[in-house]
Amino acid sequence: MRVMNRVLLVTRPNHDCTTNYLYYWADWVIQEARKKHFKVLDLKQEKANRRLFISYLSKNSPKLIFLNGHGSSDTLAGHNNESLINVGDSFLSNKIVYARSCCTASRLGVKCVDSGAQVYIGYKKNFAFFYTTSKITRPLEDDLAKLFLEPSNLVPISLMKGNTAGMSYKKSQKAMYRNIRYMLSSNASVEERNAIPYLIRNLRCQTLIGDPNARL
Amino acid sequence: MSKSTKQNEKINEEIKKLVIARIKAYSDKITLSLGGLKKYSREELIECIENEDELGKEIIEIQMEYLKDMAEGNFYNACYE
Repeated sequence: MRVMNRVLLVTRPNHDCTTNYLYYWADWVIQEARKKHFKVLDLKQEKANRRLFISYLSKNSPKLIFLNGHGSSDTLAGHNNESLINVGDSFLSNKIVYARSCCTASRLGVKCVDSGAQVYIGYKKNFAFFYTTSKITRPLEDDLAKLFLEPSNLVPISLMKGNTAGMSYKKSQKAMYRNIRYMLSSNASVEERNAIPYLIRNLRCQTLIGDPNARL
Repeated sequence: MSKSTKQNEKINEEIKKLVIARIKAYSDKITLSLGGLKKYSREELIECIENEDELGKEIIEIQMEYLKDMAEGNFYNACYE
């Protein structure tokens, strides 16, 4: 009988408005992980740096890596945009990686899988979200941002329930689709309707690279 | 300049105007986070489109993709349900 690896490593820098929103919304995933008795390695704020990231990876052998922060096709960043992962790094071998970050699935994710990562779920283009300007100090109370960030949280949450990477990806896609349908409806506010094109973009550029049957 | 190039530029100008008109209709209560370190208010988005910088081009692409989706009736069918 296979035993689930119950170690989750999260990076969540917090040095600007975008990372602040990701920081707070990633907390939701952390709470879910704790409810499911996962050991959570929470590299938050200044701790989201390359030295600690590599050290935690080697000492704790987490299987699930949930990355939040700025990114590009070649690199994924931590706190103050210090690079955490670059094209050519091979320390994600055998890991299930979910990167809530811009553009990393276009090249970095492919290279990570080439270097041994089991699966990499991320975004091929810029990850977008709208937020309500008056809610900037209370990101979790922002219903507009929720339409974007809640579906994106579903990838790690579904993986922790024992689902495969492919199923988890699909759950996130379905949730985005449902939100788009709601935003197109007459029940949506003006702000929600303004935001539709950007959620469609997230839906289209979210990508799974590697083994869809991978699971914890 | 060939006739077709002139026509393309005219079409691009029309597209720009269309997207700017759509952004102008945005609520001023919301801000967009899209790549990089910056966050964008409605006015900043319009400036990016007018200057045709990288972000402006991306906004145009996103908006045109959306309009095409609406014209084709995508998201009104039940392909995910």
